[in-house]
Parts: sequence; structure tokens; C-alpha cells
Amino acid sequence: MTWNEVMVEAARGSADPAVLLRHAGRLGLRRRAAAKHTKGAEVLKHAPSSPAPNSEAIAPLIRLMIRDFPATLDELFAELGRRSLPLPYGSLPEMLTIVGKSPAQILPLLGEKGMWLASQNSDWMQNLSRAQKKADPLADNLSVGAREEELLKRLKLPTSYEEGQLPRLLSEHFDWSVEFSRWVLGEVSFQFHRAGPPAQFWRASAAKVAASIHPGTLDEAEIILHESQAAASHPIIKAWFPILAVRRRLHRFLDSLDT
Amino acid sequence: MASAESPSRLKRLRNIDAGAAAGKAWLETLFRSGIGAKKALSGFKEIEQRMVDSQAAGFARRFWLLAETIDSSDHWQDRFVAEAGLLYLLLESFERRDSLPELLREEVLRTAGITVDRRQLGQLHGITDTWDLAVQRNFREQRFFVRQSWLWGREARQWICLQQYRIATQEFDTNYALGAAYTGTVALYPGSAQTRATFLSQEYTAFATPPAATFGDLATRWAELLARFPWAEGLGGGVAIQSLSRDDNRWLAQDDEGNWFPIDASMGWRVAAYLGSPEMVLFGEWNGDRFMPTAVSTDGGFFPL
Repeated sequence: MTWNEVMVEAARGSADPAVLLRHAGRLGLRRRAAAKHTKGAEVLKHAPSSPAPNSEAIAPLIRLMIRDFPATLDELFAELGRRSLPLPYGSLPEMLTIVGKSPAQILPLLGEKGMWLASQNSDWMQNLSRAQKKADPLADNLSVGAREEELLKRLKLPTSYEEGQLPRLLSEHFDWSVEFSRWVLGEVSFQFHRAGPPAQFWRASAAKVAASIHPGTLDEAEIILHESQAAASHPIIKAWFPILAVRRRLHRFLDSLDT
Repeated sequence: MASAESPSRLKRLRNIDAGAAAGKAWLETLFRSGIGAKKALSGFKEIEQRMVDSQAAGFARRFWLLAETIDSSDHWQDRFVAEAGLLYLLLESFERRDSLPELLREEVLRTAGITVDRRQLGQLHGITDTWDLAVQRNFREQRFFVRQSWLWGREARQWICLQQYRIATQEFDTNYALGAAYTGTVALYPGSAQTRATFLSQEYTAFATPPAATFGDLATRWAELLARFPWAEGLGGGVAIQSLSRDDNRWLAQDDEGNWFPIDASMGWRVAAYLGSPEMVLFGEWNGDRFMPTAVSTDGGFFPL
């Protein structure tokens, strides 16, 4: 029996199914053992010849950040940009998918390999083209010094919850200063076990806070978690634990590059 | 052979014999009516439960895997028929186990679900070496989370496989990590495949990337494994690659000898991102259908995918 004959009989039914099944098993085994394949129609060519960048070791971490903790990405982009490091190759497919969400931050980090990879996939080429149009020219033109100056202007401490300043501040993309982070952590700590609108506000903002506080205040955030003695289901505990862990891993890696 | 068995084991073997007969009859009924009509492909849950009731968890898993092939790809029917045929031969092999060579019989018994006592493994001849964990797949099977790790023995110059299972609320007993190495003694499970192993002792050590092969080498090892144990499910290894090609969602990689082999489509673009890196090697598992890459090495290091 040939494989085609087995398939025809299997489809329409067999008067002697035991014999058919034995043939199917033996021929199926031969098919599994054989390994002859021909190339596909489209061969990917002219990949830039370059070793993986220093950032490659954190590719799995970045994929995790994209998938589960997108609020942590702003910090990643800023830190890679500060060190002139391109994105790891292992994160490029995901980055080319989300490039439209943060074009000003992602485009400069794609590097030659990212641009080449995009050129192999028409969906990504479209994403790239839209992202290039959308990229904020102001953000591109600001020097690091100008950004910091801008930051200082924006991060004045808010005076009350009702003025709506906090939600605006928390939604900013800019880095949080140590001073502002400590003020936020103090508020969170004070409101941790309370009820009322301020407590609700901090619970709703828990992920943003964990992702945005200055890296120099991560220890203080962990002390708040530890001292709260809250249940694992508390919204702040649930949001902070994984995000702080991800940021710890990121900073451990960045510190290893600096030393 | 049978006279040496304990009464409880004999009772279990008889239960599994009854399950194997029921499994064969179920497959025969399916192929008597034909798989052309989709509605014929039903009743998998019931036959799976029948295998569990017969204390044949391994056969239950095989029926579950068979059901999983339905609609799994454009040409799933070929795979379904081949897997159904192989399962039928496995059930027959269990029934005539006393006529099989001893090592193959051991493997068939374990595939049925008769596990090896860990204390028994400790008495087997161990292989002491440094083992580099270069391939690791995490996947879900029925209610279990499975971690399958392939390690390369530097002196033994062979790949061995560690399989770990857990349920949702548990952790794996040991957290073996991709890109880590362990110095220690492993025991190979008795049987003809000689791939599945367990650590009897281990100590963490620095990882070294295992040597790469060509796809032809891997395919030869795979054919040899199937000759020893026709129901083997995968084989770990590393293949140096030069290029990639694709047709829609089908990806193929080209090795150093110019041979093309299919790779798992879900990893195509991620592998493509490393093209152009010097000395690129894909580490993964070949299952006769496609290579499932789980890490890549270049002259810059070893990176999980």
C-alpha cells in the first residue's frame, strides 16, 4: 500500500481497519524518519552581518515587559538610549509590532538589523512608515539636558488630588525624580490600608507608580510592601511585586554593563 | 517473564491489557467508518477516560495527543492517520510485550504509564559528567505543565532529556535553567531509547555552548532513535544555519551543507532577527515534522529564544 492509498481508504472507511491501521503506522513511521525538504519560495537575503549587541542577554526580559508590563518600557527605552545601545535582536519582532505606540522612543533603537528585519515583512514596513510619520519631532530634537530641564518644570509637587494634577503627572512619559518618587511613595504608604478617593486613586495607579518611580527608590518601595503586611490579593501588592522584580532585573543588567 | 511479576503488578498489567484491547477496538471502529466525515472524529474524551480507568495514563495521553492533531494544520489528516496507526501498533506491542526484546519492552511499558521507581533508578549505572542545558521547551499537556530539557554531556558526548511535570499550583521540583550547566551523575531510564534521564546528583557550573551539527547529522540520529523506539517524540540538538526561507507561514532553515529543514513557524521571525550573526547555531528539538528552536548561539553568546 502507498501512503496515498492509505489516506484514500482512511477517508472513506476500510473493511479491514486493523490492516489499514498497521499500514498507516509503518508508513507513518517511515515518513517521520525521512527528512527531505525543499526551500521555500522566498529566501531571506542580505541580513546585515553583525554580532548580537551587548543588550542581547535581556531579550527574554524585554519580551516579558512587552507582553505583561508595558508600563515599564519607557524606562527601558530611556536607559538603552542613554547608553547608545540598540534593542536586542531577540526583541525586534515584538518591537516592530508595537513601534506605533512609542515611535519616538523605539525608532532610534531599532538599528540596522531592525530596519532590515522590517524590510522583510510588509506589515512591519507599514508599521514603520506610520511610526515615522507619527514620531514626535519635538521629542527627537530635545537634547538630554533639555529633557531634564523640561522634567524639572513638570515635576512640581502637586498640592491636592482634586486639581487633577496627579493623573496628568502620572501619565507623563518623563522620568520621575527621586524627590517626586519619594513623595508618591509616602502618599501610597499613608493611603495603603485606607478607604476613600485618594486610596482608590493610588490603588488604580499602582502599576504606573511601580513602573515609574526613580530606580534609586526601588528599595523604599519594597520596604513599603514588606511593612504593609497586606494580603497578596491587595491591588498594590499584586501590581508592585512583579513590576518591581522586572525593574530589578533590568537594573542589575544595566549595572553589569556599567561596571 | 510473567511468573516473576508481583500479584499487584500482574493485576495492573491485566487492566492495561483490557484498556489496550478497548483502544484498538475504538480505533478500528473509527477507521471502519472512515475519517472523511468530521463528525466521525468524536468520542476522544471517553476513550481517554477508558485508558485512565485501565491504569494506562500513558495511553490516555497518546489518545489526547491524537485528538490534538485534528485541525492542527492545513494537512492535519496525514498526521492524524500516521499517529493513529502508530498508536495502534503501540497498543499491539503492549499486548505482545513478552515477545519484544527486553529494552524495547521496558520502553513500551513506560509509554503505557508504568513508571520507574526512583529508588530503582538510583541503583542503575550512572554517567558522571558536566551537562550543558541548551534546549528547553515548556508546554501544557492535559492538566500538566511540562518542562522538557535537553542536556549535552561534555565527556559522554551525548544528549539526554529531563522531563518535569507540575500542576498549576505547584513549582517544578528543581528549576533547571536554559543556558545553565550541571556537573553530576545522571541515570538513564531503562529502555531502548536511551535518551530520558534523571539527575542523581548535580551541582551548578558554568555553561559552555555544545557543539553544532548539520541537519543531516540530526536526522541520522533521529532515524536511529526511531529504529530503537518507533514511538519516540523528539530529539534535542544544535544545527548551524546559514539562511532562512519562507512560504506564507512555513519557515525553513538551511544548514552548512545546504540542506533545508522546517522550523516551527511561531519562531520564524525571531530566528530571522539573528540572521547575519557570525557562527549562528539553532538549538532545539526535532520531532520528525519540524525543528522547534528554543535558543540561538552566535559568536557573541548563547541566547534563549
